Amino acid sequence: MKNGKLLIAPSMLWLGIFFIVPMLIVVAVSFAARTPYGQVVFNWNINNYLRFLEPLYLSIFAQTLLVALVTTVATILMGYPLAYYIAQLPKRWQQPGLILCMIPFWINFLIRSYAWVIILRAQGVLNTLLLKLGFIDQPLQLLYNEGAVMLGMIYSLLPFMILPIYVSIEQLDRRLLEAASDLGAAPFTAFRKITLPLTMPGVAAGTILVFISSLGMFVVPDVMGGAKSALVGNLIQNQFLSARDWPFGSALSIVLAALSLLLIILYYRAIQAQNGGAENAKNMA
Amino acid sequence: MNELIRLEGITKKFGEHLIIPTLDLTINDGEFVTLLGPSGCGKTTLLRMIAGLETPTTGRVILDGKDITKLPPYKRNVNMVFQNYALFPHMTVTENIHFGLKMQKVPEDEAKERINQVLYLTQLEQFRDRYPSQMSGGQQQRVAIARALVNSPKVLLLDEPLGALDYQLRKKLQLELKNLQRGLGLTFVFVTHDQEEALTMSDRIVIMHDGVIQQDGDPNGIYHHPKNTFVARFIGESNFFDIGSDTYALRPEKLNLCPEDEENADHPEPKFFGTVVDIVFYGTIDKVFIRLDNTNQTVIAYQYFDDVHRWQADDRVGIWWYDRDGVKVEKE
Amino acid sequence: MQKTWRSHVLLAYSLAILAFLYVPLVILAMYSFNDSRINAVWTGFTFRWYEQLFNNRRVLEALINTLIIGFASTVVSTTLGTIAAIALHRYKFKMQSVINGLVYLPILIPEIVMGLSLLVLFSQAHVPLGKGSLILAHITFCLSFVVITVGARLDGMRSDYEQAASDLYATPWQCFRYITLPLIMPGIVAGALIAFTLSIDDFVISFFVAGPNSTTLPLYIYAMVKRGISPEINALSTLMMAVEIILVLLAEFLQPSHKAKADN
Repeated sequence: MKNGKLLIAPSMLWLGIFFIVPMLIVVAVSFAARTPYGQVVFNWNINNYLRFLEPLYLSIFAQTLLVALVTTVATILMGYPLAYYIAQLPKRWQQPGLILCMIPFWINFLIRSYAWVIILRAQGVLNTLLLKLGFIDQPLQLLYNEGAVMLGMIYSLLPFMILPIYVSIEQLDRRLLEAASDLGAAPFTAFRKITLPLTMPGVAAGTILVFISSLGMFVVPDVMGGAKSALVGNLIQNQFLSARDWPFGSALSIVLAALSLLLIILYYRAIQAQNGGAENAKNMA
Repeated sequence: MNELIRLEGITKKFGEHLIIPTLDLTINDGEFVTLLGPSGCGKTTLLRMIAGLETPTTGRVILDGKDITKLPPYKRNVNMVFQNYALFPHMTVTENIHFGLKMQKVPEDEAKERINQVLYLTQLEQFRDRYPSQMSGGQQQRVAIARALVNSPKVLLLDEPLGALDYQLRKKLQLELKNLQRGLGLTFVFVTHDQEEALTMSDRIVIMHDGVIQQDGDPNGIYHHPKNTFVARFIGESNFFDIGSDTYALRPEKLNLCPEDEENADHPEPKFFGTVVDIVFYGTIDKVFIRLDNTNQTVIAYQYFDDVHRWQADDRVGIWWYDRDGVKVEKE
Repeated sequence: MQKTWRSHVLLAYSLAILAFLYVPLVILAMYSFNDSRINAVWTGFTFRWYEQLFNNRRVLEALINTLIIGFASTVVSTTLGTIAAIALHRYKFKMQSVINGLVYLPILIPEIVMGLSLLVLFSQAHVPLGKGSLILAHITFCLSFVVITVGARLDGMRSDYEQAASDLYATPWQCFRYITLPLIMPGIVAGALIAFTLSIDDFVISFFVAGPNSTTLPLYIYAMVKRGISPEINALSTLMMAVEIILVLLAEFLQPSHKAKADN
C-alpha cells in the first residue's frame, strides 16, 4: 500500500499545484479589487459578484445561456440520427464510421471556425457563389452576428454529442426491440417507447458536455461574432486582456466553474439514481 | 504418507462476511485431493490461500514443514493452473512455459531441456511456436498445465481447469490429468463443483459447504456412506426417509419396488408405500418417480431395461431395501 | 436493417450531417491551393502559399515552439499519467473517489477557467511567461487524458495475467516489466499520441499563459485571423489538419476497440 501512495503521489502533487492551487487563488482574487493601474488589491469584498446584477452583465449571461441551450438542442437533433445510423451499421463499419465523425473533433476549434469565416464572409465562398448565380446582388451579412456564432458553436460541438449517444445506442440490447416487434409494436413505436428512453443516458451525457463547453467558449464568438458578440467567455477574456480587471474576471470564472460543477453533480446524481435500481438487482442475483 | 500441506485454524473474512469459519485440512504427499462443493462454498478461496493469492484472516498455511502464511506467491514453490488458463497472450507456448524458469533464473540449457520434456509430456511439441489465440481450448488447457509443471512444484493447484471444455474433451483430459499425476507421483489439489469429475479422478474428496468441510474421505466411502443430507444430496442422487427420529439416505439403485399387495415375498417388508407418478427414460435406466403416501414426498427408484416387471404410472408400490443399504445421516 | 423508406431517410440525413461536418474543412483545404489572394474566386492551382509558409520565419519559430512544447509535455504527462493509472489499477485508495474526481476535473472544467487560473498562478508566483509556463500548463491538461486512456487499457486487461505471473515466481517489478507493460503498451502509446495532439492543438490555455516570444502555431493562426485573411493561414491550417488527422488515426489503431474486450 505504501507503494501505491508513492506511485500516485507525483500526479496528485502535480494536479494539486497546477490545478487546485490556481483555482484557489482565483477564488481569492475574485474577492479582491483592482487598482486604477490594473494591480490586484486583496481587500476582501464581494463587489465583483454584485456586478453580475447589473443589466449589462445579466443580459450577457442570459445570451450565453440561450446560445448554449440552442446549441445543445441543435446538436441533439443533428447528432442523434447520425449516431443511430452508425450504431446500426454492420459491426465492422461502426469503428470507421465513428472515426469519421470524431476526426473533426480533433481539429483545432480555431481552424474549424476559420473555415466557416472563409465561407460566410462578405467576399467568402457562399456570397461569391450566390452573387455569381444571380440570387443576390449584394453580399449578405452572414458573419459577425449571433446566428454565425450559433452556427460555429453547433459545428464545433456536434462531435461531443455524437459519441456518448452512439455508445448508449450501441449498448442497447437488440433483443428488446425484437421482443417489442414480436408483441406487435410498429418500428416507430418501438423507437419511441424503448430505444429513446433507454438511450437517454447517452443524450444526457452529451448534453452536459455540449452545454458546459458552450458556456465557456470564447474562440467561436470571437472569430465569428467579432466585436458585436459578447458572451461570458469573451467577457472573461476581456477582463484578463484589455480591461485588466482580474478580480472581476476571476469572479466570472468562478461562477462559470461553479455552474459547470453543479451541472455535473446533478448529472452524476441522476445517473446514480437510475443505476441504483439496477445495482441492487445485480447484487441480489 | 507424509504430510505435505497443512492448513491450520484457517478463517477468512471478506469485509463483514465470514466466508470460512475455522477450518483445518491436511494434504499428503502424492495425493490427488479434490475440493468439491457448490459455488461460493470457499473451495477456490482455500486453493488460492495455498497459492498465496489470498491471505487467511487467521490461521497458518504450512508447506513441507515451513510456515508460508506470510510468503507472497512468487516465493512459494507451488504452481496453479487457472480457471481460464491465463496464458500470456503476447508470448508463444514456449515462452509461456519458459516464464517461470526465467523468473527463477534457471540456466538456458537446463531450461530448454525441461521445456522439451514437458512439451512431450503434454503432447504439445507441434505447438511450441504458436500463440495462445491460435489454439483451441483443450490445447490451451495443456499449455497451462505444462507451464505449471515445468517448475517441478511441490504441489500443483488446479482451479476448475476443465470447466470451459465440452463433455467429450473434459472426459479425455480428466483421464490424462489422472495419469499425469500418477506417473509423476505429484500432489494435486483440484477444485471443482462437478461431483462426477471428483469421483472419477480423486484419491480423496473434501466436500465443502458454506466454508465448512462436510466430509473428507475416499470417493467410495463418500458415495456409499454420506455423513449428512448435504453430502448425500450433492454426490449422486439420494432419497431420504424419516423413520422415528432418524433420517436414512438411500441411493435410487438401492431402492426396490414390489406390488402393494404382494404376499409371501422373500425380501424385507416394505417400509413405505406410494403411487408411481412418472417414468423417465435415461438411457441405461428408467427413473421411476414415486409419490409416498402420508408424506407427499417424491422418491426415485431405478428400473432397468431387462427387468422382468416394468412399472407404469399409477401403479401402487411398496418400497423396501436391505438394512445394510440404508445409511443413517445427520440433517445438515 | 431493412431497406424501408425510413432507413433511406436516415441515411440521407446522416450523410447530410457528415457533409455539414466536412465540407467547410474540405473548402479550407481546397482554397489553400487557390492562386487568388482574394480568396473566393478560383484562379488557379498553386503551391505558393505553402512555399511562403516555409519561408516565413515567424511561422517556423512558432512551429519549433509548438513541437518543443508538444514533445516535452507529452513525455512528462505520459510518464506521470501511466504511473498514476497503474497505481489506481493496482491499489484501493481510501480517497478513491476524491482521486478519481481530481483526475476528471481538468477535463470537465471549461478550458478558459483553467487557462486563466494558471495565468493567475504564474503571475502571483512571479513565474515569467514563456515556453516553460506553456509546458507546465500543457502537462497539466494532458495528464488526465493519459490517466484515462491508459486506465481504460488496464481495466480491459484480465487480472489473472498478473496473478499467473506472480504464481510463476515473478516479483511485482518483474510482473510489471514482462507482463503488464507489454500488454498496456498500446494504451500508453495511444495516450501519448492523444497528449501530443492536444498539446499542438491547444489554443485557449496557451492564449493565457504564453509569453511574448513563445508563440505556438495555434496562437499564430489566431493572430493572423484577427488581422485579416491571408491565404497563408489556409495553407497552415490545412497542414495542421493533416497532421492532426494522421495522429488521431494512429492513436485509433493502437486502442483496442471496446468490442475486443469480449475475450474476457
